[in-house]
Amino acid sequence: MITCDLQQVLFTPNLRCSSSFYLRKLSNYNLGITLANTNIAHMHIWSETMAKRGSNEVASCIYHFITTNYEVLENGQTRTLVLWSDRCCGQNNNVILIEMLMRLIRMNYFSHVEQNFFVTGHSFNDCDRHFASIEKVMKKNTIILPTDIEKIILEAQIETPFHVTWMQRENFLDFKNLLAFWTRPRLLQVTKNLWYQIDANAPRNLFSRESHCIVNILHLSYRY
Amino acid sequence: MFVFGQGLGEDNMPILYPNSFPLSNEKLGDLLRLTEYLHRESLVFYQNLIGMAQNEFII
Repeated sequence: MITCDLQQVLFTPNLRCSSSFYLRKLSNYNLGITLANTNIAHMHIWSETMAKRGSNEVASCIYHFITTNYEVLENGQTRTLVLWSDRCCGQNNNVILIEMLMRLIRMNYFSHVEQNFFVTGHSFNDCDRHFASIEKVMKKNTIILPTDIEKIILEAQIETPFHVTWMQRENFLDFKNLLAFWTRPRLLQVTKNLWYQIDANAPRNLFSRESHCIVNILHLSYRY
Repeated sequence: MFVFGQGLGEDNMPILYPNSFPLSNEKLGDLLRLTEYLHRESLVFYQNLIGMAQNEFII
């Protein structure tokens, strides 16, 4: 089970003199992925000279994390991915991320994938806790170069240090291109649902649920 | 349940930004002004960044 979230923009150089206050600075982005059962966190950093911070970039970071940390399943093996994130439609809750998860199933990295979204207003997660500890260290230091962010992230947690990955230009892939091949169902409203499921037995089928509450589903089926 | 269609074409993913440099000219100008406040090592980094943008992408 993994949780992912994007940290607020980190500006460099972070100078304290007043004359530099209104000058635009270089934006750096950090997408955190936390393995919930082990509390190990992987931070994916890039600057705006590499890419922006949209759905393709978020999908690319997760795709890079999976393809570098997991191996392709062999015959008969099973593995489940449960992904939790907030409902930001520009980053997590969109068809591009679903296309990416479907591709992971087709590539045989997982036999079963679930994508879950936190209920709006209740989205404080493991990643936010890690970002808070990074920002605490940042307040004590002056950040001049993007590489200083890496040093701070490595210092932020002593017991289980964060893993840092610098995303390169070639790591950012255009997942929107998959929509031309695996066409989106006409009635699918991605932002309406809180839960999606894809299974290797039917890799083109997407199961959805509008709520996390199973009681509602049982109640409905009972009434039916 | 929704079923995704399988169309014609190639199931591939090209690189997102193969040739473009996302920084705007205005931001590069501000970064150039910020270099006045920096020490030598940091200055080189930002000068290289601006130089790369001018040579490879903007001109």
